[in-house]
Amino acid sequence: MVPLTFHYSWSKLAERERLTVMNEFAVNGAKHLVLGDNLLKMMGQDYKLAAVLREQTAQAGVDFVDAHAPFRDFGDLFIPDERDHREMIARQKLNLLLVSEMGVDTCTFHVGSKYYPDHSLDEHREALFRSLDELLPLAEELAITICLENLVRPLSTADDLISYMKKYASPHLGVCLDVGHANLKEQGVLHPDSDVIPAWEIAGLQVCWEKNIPERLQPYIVNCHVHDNGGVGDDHDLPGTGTIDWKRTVPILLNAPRIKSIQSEVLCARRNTPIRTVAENIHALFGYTPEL
Amino acid sequence: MVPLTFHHSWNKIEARDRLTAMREFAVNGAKHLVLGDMLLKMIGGDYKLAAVLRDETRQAGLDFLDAHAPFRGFGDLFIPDERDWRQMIARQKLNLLLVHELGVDTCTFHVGSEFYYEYTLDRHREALYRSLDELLPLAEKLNVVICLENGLTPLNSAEALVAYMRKYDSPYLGICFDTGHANRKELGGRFPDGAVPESWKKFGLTIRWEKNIAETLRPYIVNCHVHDNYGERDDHNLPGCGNIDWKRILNVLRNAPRLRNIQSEVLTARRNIPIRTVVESVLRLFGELPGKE
Repeated sequence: MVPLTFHYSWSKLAERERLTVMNEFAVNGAKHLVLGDNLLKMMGQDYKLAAVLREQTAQAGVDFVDAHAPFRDFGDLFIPDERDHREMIARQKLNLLLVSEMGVDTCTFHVGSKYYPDHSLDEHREALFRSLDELLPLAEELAITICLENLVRPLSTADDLISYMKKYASPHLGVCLDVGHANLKEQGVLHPDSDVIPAWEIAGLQVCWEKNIPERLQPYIVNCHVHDNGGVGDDHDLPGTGTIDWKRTVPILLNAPRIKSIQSEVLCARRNTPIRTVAENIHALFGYTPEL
Repeated sequence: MVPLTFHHSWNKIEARDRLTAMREFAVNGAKHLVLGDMLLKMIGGDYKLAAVLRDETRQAGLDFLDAHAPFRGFGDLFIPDERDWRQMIARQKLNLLLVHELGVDTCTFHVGSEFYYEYTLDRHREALYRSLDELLPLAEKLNVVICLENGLTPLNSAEALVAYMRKYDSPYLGICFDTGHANRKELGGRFPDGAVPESWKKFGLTIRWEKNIAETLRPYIVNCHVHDNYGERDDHNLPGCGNIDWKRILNVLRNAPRLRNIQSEVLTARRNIPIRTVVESVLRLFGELPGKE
């Protein structure tokens, strides 16, 4: 069974409620949580939080499987500005160490979404390669796989990701298939109000719409983000409430040769979705019957 | 005059109150603030905070001058445990970058105070050297001086710090002279029960009280922490609310060849001291000290 792991917006929660929410996941059959970008940021600020989280997860009977590195400002791997790139690398190296410290061996990174208008797209790509050149040796040392996520923006298309996989051909580099983003990129062409269009316009480009994204990325998928949308915006809804064809998607994930974990990235807080609803939905989708 | 810079417990106030507090410092004559350990921790977690702080200090007519790296858990330079040491180094490298990013060129580090008692004292010292070997090249590249602070443990005595200075002999390594810690180390013999850190006993050593700490460290002092106490506890009081001989300290600092700034480390929150009182007290004491301002 591929481990199922659950994202939660821990940063929006008062510290005293964290263990209660972990317990909430546990009583609904969840065994694994995501060490998300906001938790990593919190650990960046609170030097002792790692020990607290280890204790709390142990008490709740869950653990962290899979991680998501901070992104955007000083988090995007493609930052072409020299000073900002240096700060980003220092932050992400620390994040890799913290991920390892928490016993996690996969970590999703964004190629990037915040473009530097004074730099060309090629300079962004070169900066991404410099980042991977810096981070991959550390990832290898820590036995962590860096997973690049398909986004809806230039430099993060399926074609782009495949080219990066072929360039590096490393067991410590893989793909995080975000099924919601893939849906936006496949169906957005049908929607003039698609959120994908402005994401490309910012870079001065017309959208490169794509097809068969999960199928093409399947050989490289190491982890994934599971959530749904209507093909227009990045809603992070419950599977089944959008337009994603789950009968097509689920087997691709379960049969991906390098898959290590499947992550729910349903945003409970955004639509006030109860934890039980999310856990039951994801368990049912992937044919898992938890012992409650 | 030597630039005077002020510590404040920024982590204890709401973000919305920060600019008001900065203005409180400014209207009372302060020009510079300390980029303290808690601010650096906050920037470590809030990737956009550096830009916000730059904007807020500019609005208040202030800047950051002098910094203090986080210490204790994953902050002490002498961590002998390999995994913890590695995390500490990654954190402190990031902190040096952030210090530089905010235009600051001196940063105080603690040798350490949270000992790993399963390791020997020598292993702690070796780890400190490994840390300096890692951090000094980056400090040089960023033009930041790493300042080691005097304290009361076996590895941060005046004698120990002078040995580190001689070993490295680098313009990017200096001393942060902490007036309060020095007073405790000079007068602590009067209060043997309260003032001796447990590390001496746990390593089977007898504390060596020191004399003339300021004078001994003077050639290497780059920045300093100004606060007062009565020799027993680390009170961080206003200068004058203790028994430090400030005329003597002023004379030492006046003749410290590498001195760049003087930092108030009076803890306003601990004793509800108004910002105006702190600024006036420190300006009165050090305002005439010749320097680059």
